[in-house]
Parts: sequence; structure tokens; C-alpha cells
Amino acid sequence: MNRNRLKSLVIPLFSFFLAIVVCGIIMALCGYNPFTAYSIIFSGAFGSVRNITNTLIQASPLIMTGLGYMVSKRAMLINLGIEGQLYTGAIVAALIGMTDLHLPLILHLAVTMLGGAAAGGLVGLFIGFLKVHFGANEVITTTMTNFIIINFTSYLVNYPLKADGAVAQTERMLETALMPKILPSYQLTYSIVIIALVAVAVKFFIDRTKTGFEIQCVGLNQKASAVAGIKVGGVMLSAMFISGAIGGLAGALQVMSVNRRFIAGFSADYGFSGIAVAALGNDNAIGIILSGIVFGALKNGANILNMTSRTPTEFVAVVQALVVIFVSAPLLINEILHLGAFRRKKKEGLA
Amino acid sequence: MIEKIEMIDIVKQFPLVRAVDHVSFSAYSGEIHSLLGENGAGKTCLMKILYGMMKPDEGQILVNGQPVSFHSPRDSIALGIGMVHQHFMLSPVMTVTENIIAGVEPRKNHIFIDMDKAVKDVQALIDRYHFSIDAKAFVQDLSVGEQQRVEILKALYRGARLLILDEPTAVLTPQEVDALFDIMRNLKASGTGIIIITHKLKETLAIADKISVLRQGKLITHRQDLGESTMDDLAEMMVGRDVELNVSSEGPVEGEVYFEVEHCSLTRNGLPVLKDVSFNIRKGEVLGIAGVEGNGQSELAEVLTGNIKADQLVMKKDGVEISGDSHSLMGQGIGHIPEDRLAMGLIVEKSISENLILGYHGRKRFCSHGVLDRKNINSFADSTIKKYGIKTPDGNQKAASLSGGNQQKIVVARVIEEEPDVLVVCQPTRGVDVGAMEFIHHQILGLRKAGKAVLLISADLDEVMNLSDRIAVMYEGKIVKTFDADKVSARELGLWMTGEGNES
Amino acid sequence: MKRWLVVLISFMMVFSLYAGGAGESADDGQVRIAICLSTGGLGDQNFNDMAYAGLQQAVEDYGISFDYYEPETVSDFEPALRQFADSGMYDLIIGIGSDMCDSFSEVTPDYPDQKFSIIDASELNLPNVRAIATSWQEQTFLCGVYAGLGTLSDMPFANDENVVGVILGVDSPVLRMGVVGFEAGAKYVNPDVEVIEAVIGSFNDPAMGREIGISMNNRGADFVQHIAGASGLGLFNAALENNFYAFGVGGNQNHIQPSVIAATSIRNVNEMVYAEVVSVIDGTWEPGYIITGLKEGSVGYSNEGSEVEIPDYIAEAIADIHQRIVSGELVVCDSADGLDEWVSANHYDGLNQ
Repeated sequence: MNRNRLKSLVIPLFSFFLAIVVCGIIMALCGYNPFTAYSIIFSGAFGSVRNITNTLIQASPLIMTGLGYMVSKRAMLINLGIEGQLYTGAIVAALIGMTDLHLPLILHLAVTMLGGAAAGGLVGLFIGFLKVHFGANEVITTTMTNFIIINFTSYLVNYPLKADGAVAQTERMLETALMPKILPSYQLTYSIVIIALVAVAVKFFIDRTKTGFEIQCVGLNQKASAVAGIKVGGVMLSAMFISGAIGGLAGALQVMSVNRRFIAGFSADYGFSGIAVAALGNDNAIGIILSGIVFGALKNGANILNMTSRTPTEFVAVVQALVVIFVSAPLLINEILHLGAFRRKKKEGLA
Repeated sequence: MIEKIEMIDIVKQFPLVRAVDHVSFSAYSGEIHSLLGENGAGKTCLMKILYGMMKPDEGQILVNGQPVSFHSPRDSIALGIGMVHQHFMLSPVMTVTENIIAGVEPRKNHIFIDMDKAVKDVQALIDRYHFSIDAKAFVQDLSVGEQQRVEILKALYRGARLLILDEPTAVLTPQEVDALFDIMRNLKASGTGIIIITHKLKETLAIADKISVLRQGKLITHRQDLGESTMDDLAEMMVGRDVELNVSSEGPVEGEVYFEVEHCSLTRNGLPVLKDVSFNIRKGEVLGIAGVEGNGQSELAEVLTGNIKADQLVMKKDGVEISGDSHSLMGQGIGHIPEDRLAMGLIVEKSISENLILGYHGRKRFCSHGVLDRKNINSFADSTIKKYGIKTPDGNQKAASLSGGNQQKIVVARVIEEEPDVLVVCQPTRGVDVGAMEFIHHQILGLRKAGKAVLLISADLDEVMNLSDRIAVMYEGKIVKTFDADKVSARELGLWMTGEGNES
Repeated sequence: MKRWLVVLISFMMVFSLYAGGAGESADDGQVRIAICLSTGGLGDQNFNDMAYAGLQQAVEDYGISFDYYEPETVSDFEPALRQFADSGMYDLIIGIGSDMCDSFSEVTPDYPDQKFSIIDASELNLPNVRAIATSWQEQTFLCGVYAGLGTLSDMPFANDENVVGVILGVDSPVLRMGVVGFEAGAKYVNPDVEVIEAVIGSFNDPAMGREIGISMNNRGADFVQHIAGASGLGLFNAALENNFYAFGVGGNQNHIQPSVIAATSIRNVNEMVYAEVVSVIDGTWEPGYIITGLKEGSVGYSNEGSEVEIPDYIAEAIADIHQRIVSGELVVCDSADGLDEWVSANHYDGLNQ
């Protein structure tokens, strides 16, 4: 393997390892046995077909939001609005899915997904527009639009779109708009295939296309890109559109395969977890698939742990946060690894 | 009191290069020692070790024969070593005195800053060495040369008896260089030792008592006496081979006017930066812009290449008006070698190949239907790397892995391979080694020979004088005077650059 | 690289061996219950804590054992239910909250031999599911009685006007039945009382709850019932500031502001959960859709913990009316449209004043 590539893997892997260790210490301090806990998590995540499918279900939205966050991050735009874009995609997909368009399964599925993606993309585009034309800081605008979107969708399902009953949710989507299951009585659907395709497409887009190249250039050196004649504003708009579209598609797939309708507050902060997923995935599409599965496994394993040993699931959030901290502090990791190398060197010197 | 500083057998290893390779070096009070070498030869690194900013991997430093060990500049300053960096570290909104005393303020009752005493002390220091600045002036009102003096005062105020000056003349006009040299002589007479880091041979011969030449981290020669040294023989020691120092153009050009700029004006933050700048360039002509940095040259280049929108501007190429943003001007045959390759020219985290097509990556030969053609890109990169002698194992290496000279070659190659009709070149050889400088100068003259119009903006007056057919001097956003290159002296240009020129 | 892989795989194997031992236990005839709590989890001082308390009670009384799961979002219900059902270890799997109905209809058909119960369900008819709903009108009726008598009484904060109020979190047909119960209760003892109502629009807006509480009091309401989740906490603050009485809802809320909360329209989720467990133990569990009320003890009235001194005749009336409903002598009005007719037909005659 290429030395550089190996080196770029060290920081995320070590960060994850460190996060697991630190979290283990926290668990121990709280009176839980971390070794038992981690072993239950591991078997709970991968121990049976049910466990594996549940892990993939948990991983699905995380991979998508990780990909979405990554695309904008490549252009040095911090899209904290994936959460809002996810809600937008979800509500639009739910509406399309509820409507009888007299379409066969495949087409209705496609229209529902595209609708969700387009809606999320438009939200991203709007943020990009504010950034490019008014210089609005996207960290602030995305955070604010998150509030607006989440509350507005909540209003929609509490009033005009509310289905009968006590729950704030839309009507159930039609069967033709629901992603088919892969195995009977397992919840896993073909959305996992769609997600794999999206990841491959994102990788191709970033690495091989003109726009992808320009996104990378703008992200690494905006001034040099502008001097070289790259239309920085346009590139930012495309990055935000694609980022938002992936977030929207994430929401669409979630309602199409898990919730079967839009339910207020359906997201377990998927949009924000995407930041940790992208960080652990080294901002690389394939890495994000793997890190999404890792976090999905952690979440699913933690659920099993919660069911069997009454350990709260909150520590998964702790691991996620620690990963983000460690990955974004590469100097810290380098320092720690360096210490090890230094000691080794000293030992060799003595021998 | 420092009498003698010795650095013995110093080694500094970086991951890929050995920056300093078993160098021994000594300096004495009351003499000026020139540390000569190309960029990347290890001069600055060696001096940062002496100043305590870096730790050597091997070797020893002796002050007056006693071994010392520096953990930070704090330690070296305490022993009387001072360093003036290439980039000044001054706060423009504070006064000279405030900048000088920051960190070592004289105190009243241990709490309040004794500003009266500070001003008095600083003014005394200024008068003693004839620095001729006002201790109460604001730094933002000072010229570059005066700001440099503030930096030197900062070191002196902290008790420096050995001064390290890193490329002190790079930013100065000829007149300011003379003033600096006077100050250096004054300091020397008062017993201060000076180490001057430079790659300028002319200045070394003019001021130095002793010379040490570094090349690729090694000490090549150490001369106690300059008596017989010539520029050519110092250059050969620096580079390791015979170099042609003066490539020059061949007299005035008679071709037709090809590129015209009329009434170019620009206001930034409410201040006029360019004031009605007009000029033209003939086919096969190099027009040089001389000027002290900050007189509108950078903005002129950015306006002409579409990176900044001017308030007013008419640009004509071959009689046809052209306009647009950088993207569209590139398409209309305007090439641009930006002034700062790291900030504006390269994306150093990307590969050499990708940097070689940056900006032209959308051209048909590199891209079809929005997908990059890796095969064509790589073969273009391979042949360009060969043609321009870019030293790298292959095009997949990051541009960051290259030396300054090789990085600059990427920027130059990219534009020249595109064969622009008009080339705007800014600081083409800033911070590159002599070998790369020679190569880049030949490339620019090659374009001239090919009948292109070239606008050369450079702070290096020698470069402007050597390459240009005509030289326009910019001062405070205006072109104040245009000369035929062979009919003007550096001294005269210097006067115009500082606004002292007059039509007589 | 290869060595890494070997290490990794051996780790996995050790882990899975180790983990295989945990969790499972021999079938010792002990009754095992699984419960999927509602989002919000333990510590909510409401639904989830009450459900937990009900199971804890069953542990003490019958020596059962139970496992629980705290979902983060609605998306977590279905995997959890399947996970519990897959294990085959549980005599009964309980879900809490009507937002779990979707997941129940999705999951339970795949496990026909597994018993499921859902508390606070909307109508659900599945062969292996017992869906339990509570009667809103019976839950709020007795607080309505308190308000109807209290506003006419000489209690310290009672004013001259014959007005009481009720605040809704959101306007839904189900919650409307709570309004019907409250209004029916008030008019049963005080036919001329005016009942004003308002909708906050959210279960999570205490500030708005406070505003509305104050404006209701300004319009003369001296007893105000909320059916508004966390928004209702604002009503309690308003009551404290403006000196009027409030009624809590759900779990016993009297301790929150004991000086102004007169009573709570209680839903005993703990009793409901406990009853489900008992029905499994004694073999009376059967599927279906069941609406329970005062008679079953799933809803009720409590002023325990309140410092508001209730006049004896009001307390007696409430106890008496409670008894009449339990015995079936009085049937609480069950529709908004029929309210006027019900009020004219039913009038309380047992007042000892």
C-alpha cells in the first residue's frame, strides 16, 4: 500500500481507538464494565443476521449524511444544515409517497427519491446563494435554517398534514413508494443498494469530474482557484446543492424504508452524526461507508446493550464527539504516536 | 558581552532533506559577516538555530567559548543575540516606541508602564545610531525602510550585541539600501556584530567583511578577506556551476502596439489605489513595472487579469476591446503568473500534474463531457516536467514536496504551455534559486521572441532592468515615468520610485 | 498488514465468544417482560418513569424480571421490537405511546406466537396484540368537578366570576375529549359555569403556556386545567404569579407548584403496565382494543402532594361522583356534539353545603 495513504489512515483509526478507550474509562467510572459492554456491543452489532441487518439500518442514514457533509467540506464549506436538508427531503418524499401518481413501483420509488433529493438540494443551494452573494457565514445560516425547517415540518405534521390520531405525523405512504425489503421479516431494504451507488457516484464525481476537481481546488486554495479562472461562486453553489441533495436523499430513504411516513422528530441527529462519520471516514467516500458502518454498529450494539444490561446509550454520542475532537486535532494524535516512536527509538539505541 | 559566537558541527535533519549538514560557523563582534547562499541552502535554518527558534540535531553553540543551549529565542536574546526577520512583526496602529518596548516595558511601581522613560530611551537609541525616525510616530506612517529600522531597534533595545538580518534588502529601494548600509556601518563601529543572510552578491561585496557560502546545507567556503572575490566566482560557489547572471533583452522594439490599457482606476476601502493608469505594449516587447511594493502594482496585475473589478478600465488586444472575469480573460489569451505562488498560484496539497493543468483543466484535451481525462493529463504532465526540468520522481507527488524554484516552474510552465498572447508576470523569481531564476528568465525572453506582449511586475529592480525593453515606474498608484530600459540607471529609477524624481 | 488482520479476527472471535455467554439465561419458569419505552427515556417524571415503576412493582409483588429499551427516536422502535421478539425469551413485550402503533402493525404479524401489549394506543386490531387506551373524558372529569365547585367557593384564589379554563397543547380529536370531560365535570355540578379554552400549538412551549394562562385568568378563569405536556409548566408559573389554581395532567404534578396546583388529572401508566403483567401471570391476557377508565384505575384524580386546602364538601362530592362513575350509575359524556344534551340530562344532586 502507498505509504502516504497508510499514513492518512493512521489518524482516524487511532482517533477511534482513543475514543473507545476514553469512553471505556468513562464507563468504568460510571460503574459499568467496559469490557463486557464492548463485547456485548460487538456481538450485538454483528452476532446474527438480525444484528447485521439492524447495524446496516442504523448505518444507512449516517453514511448518507457523512457523504453529504463531505462534499461540501471538500469545498471548505461547513454544511451544518444536513439535518435540515434531511427533514426537507423526508417531508417532500413523504408527500410524494402519499400521493397516488398511478405509477408503477420502480417509477414511484425513483420520483420519491428524486423529489427528496431535489428538495434538500434546493435548501443547500439557498445557503450557497446566501454565502456567495451576501457573504453570509454558512455555519450560521445552516444552523438557523435547521431551526426553521425542523419547526416548520413539525408544524406541517401537527396541523395541515396531520394524520388522524394523537401522533404528529403524515398519512402512511403508498406501497409503491416504500422501498422493498431484501429479506422477509427483516427491516433492511434496497435503500442500502442505493446508498452504495451514491457513495460510488460521489467518489467518481469528486475524483474524476471537472466540477469535482474544482470543488477540491476551491476547498484547498480559494484564491489560487479564482486566479486560475475557476468560478469559485459557481463551484460553491454546486457543492452546496450536491451536499444538500445527498442530505435530502438521506431523509427520503429514511421515510421510504424505516418510518413509512414523515414523523415529527424522526431523526436521531443523523445530520450532525454525519460530521463524525465524515471525520472518521477521512473525507473519502469509501472511508465514509466503513465509518458509517462502524458508527451504525456502535449504535445498534449500544441498543442491544441497553436492552440486555440497562446501560444507557448516551455513551455512543460520547464516542462520536471524541472521534470528532481527536480527528480534528491531528497534532495531538501525531504527538501521541510520536511519543511511542521516540521511545522505541530510544530502546533500539540502548540495545 | 558577546565577543565571539561559534557554531560547531551543526546538523539539522528534516523528514526529507538535511537542511544543515555539519556546518561550523563563527562570528565576532564589530564585524559584518555575510551568509551567502541560494534559497533553500540552509542559511535561514542555521540562523534560526543560533537564535533559538530551532533545535539542532547535532552540534554545539559556544558563546565566548562557553557552551550554551537555547530552548527559545528568550534564551538567545538574554545573551545579546537579536534577529530581524524578513517579514516584519510590527503593529501598524501603535507607535514606534510602543512596538519596541512591547514585552519588555519599563515599569513605574511595578505596575504602570513608564511611557516617558520608554520614549526617552528609544529616542536616545535612535539618535545614537542615526536612525532618523521619530519615536512617537505611528508605524503605519513609516516607509518600509523605516519599519525595518524599527525592527532593528527592537533587537537593540533588548540589548543585542549580535544582530542577524534575514534578507534585509529584499524589500528596499536602492536609496533605502544605502541608508541601511550606513546604519550597519554605524553599528559595526560601535562594536555590534552583524550577520546578514542574503543571496545578493553585489550587496555582499559592498558591505561584508567576511563571507560564508552555504550550498545544499553544506558550508562551501569561508573567506576572511574579500580582496579578490568577484561576483562571478561567488555565484559559482553558490550554485555549484557557471551561471549566466545577466540575461538581457536586445534594445527597443519596433513592432505594432498590441496590448493597450487605458484609464485604469481602482478604489479600495475608499482609497484610490490605481489612478488613471494607461500604457501599451508592442508585440515582442517586455514592459517592466518598477516600484516600491504597495504602490499599486499588485492591484494592477489583478485588475488586468480579471481578479479584481476596476472602477474604470479599457483593455484592448490587437485593437479589440476585451473584458470579463479571470475565467473569460484567460479564454481571450491573457496569461497570468501571479505574484505569490503559494497563495495564488498553486494548490500545494494537490499533485504536480493537477497543478500543471489548473485553470486549463476544462480544455478539450484534458476533459471530455465533464470527466477529466487522466491519461492525457498524465502524459502532458510527464512531458512538461521533462521540458521544464522540474525535479520530482513523478507528477503524482504533491506540489508541496517541491522547492520554491520547482514550484515556480509549475506556475510558469502552465501558463507558457497555453501560449497566451499577453502575459502578466508578477514577481516571477521571488524566492527561487539562481538556477531556476535563470531558467524562468529565459522562458520570459522566449515569449518575447515569439512575439507576445509581456507585462513584468517585479520588486527586484535588477530583474526589471535586465528583462524589460521599457520600464514604467509606479508611485502611489500612478505611472509617473516611462523609460527605455537601456537609457536609465538604477539610481534614477530609485528616485522616481520614491517620488523624488523630477523632470529636468 | 496481514498481521493486523489476524489480530483483528482473533479479537472478533474472542469478543463474540465472550458476548455469547451474556444475556441468555436458562428457562426457569420466571415471567420475563420486555418493554420498549417511549422517546424521552427514563427520567422524564412521566410516562417512562411511571411504566418503569409499574414493572418494579411487579418485580416486588410477583418476582418477575424485565428488560427495557430507551429509544432515541421513533425510528428505533421497530428494530428494538424485533430484537426483543427474536430472542423468544419474553412472555410479554410492552410498548408505550401511540407513536409506536406503526411499528406494532409492522412487527407483530411476523411473530404470531409472541404476546404484545401497547399502552396508550390508538385503535389497533391485531391477533396477538392487546392495545390499551384510556378514556380522556374520565381522566379530566373529576378535576372538572373540582373546578366547577371551586369557582363558586370561598377558596382564597377563587374570584367572583363563574369562569374556568382548559388549555390544549395541540388541537387534536383525542385531546378534545379531555376538554369534553373537564367541561362536563364542571357543568355537572355548576350548569351555569363558562368554560373557556385555548390551544398553544406545541407541547414544548412553556412561555406560551404562561401567556395563555395569564390571559385566561384575566378573563376571569380561576381554575385552569392544562393538557399540554411541557407547555403546561408555563401555566403553573402563571398560576403562581397571578394567584389562581391550576390542574396538572398525566403523572402526579402536584409537587411542582404545590401552593397553586389543586390536583392532577392522573393517568396511571404504572397501574396499566402493572395490570398487563398481572394478566399474563394469571392467564387472563387476551388480545383486543380496550379503553379503560376510572373503573379500571388507569385514570383518576389525585390531590396528593398539593398544599391547596380543598373544602370538605368538594372533596366529598369528588369521592361520591368517582364512586358513581365506577359503579356505572353515571356515564361520562363521550362526544363534543352531545355535550349540551348530556349537561341538561345530568345534574349532580348530592352536594352537602
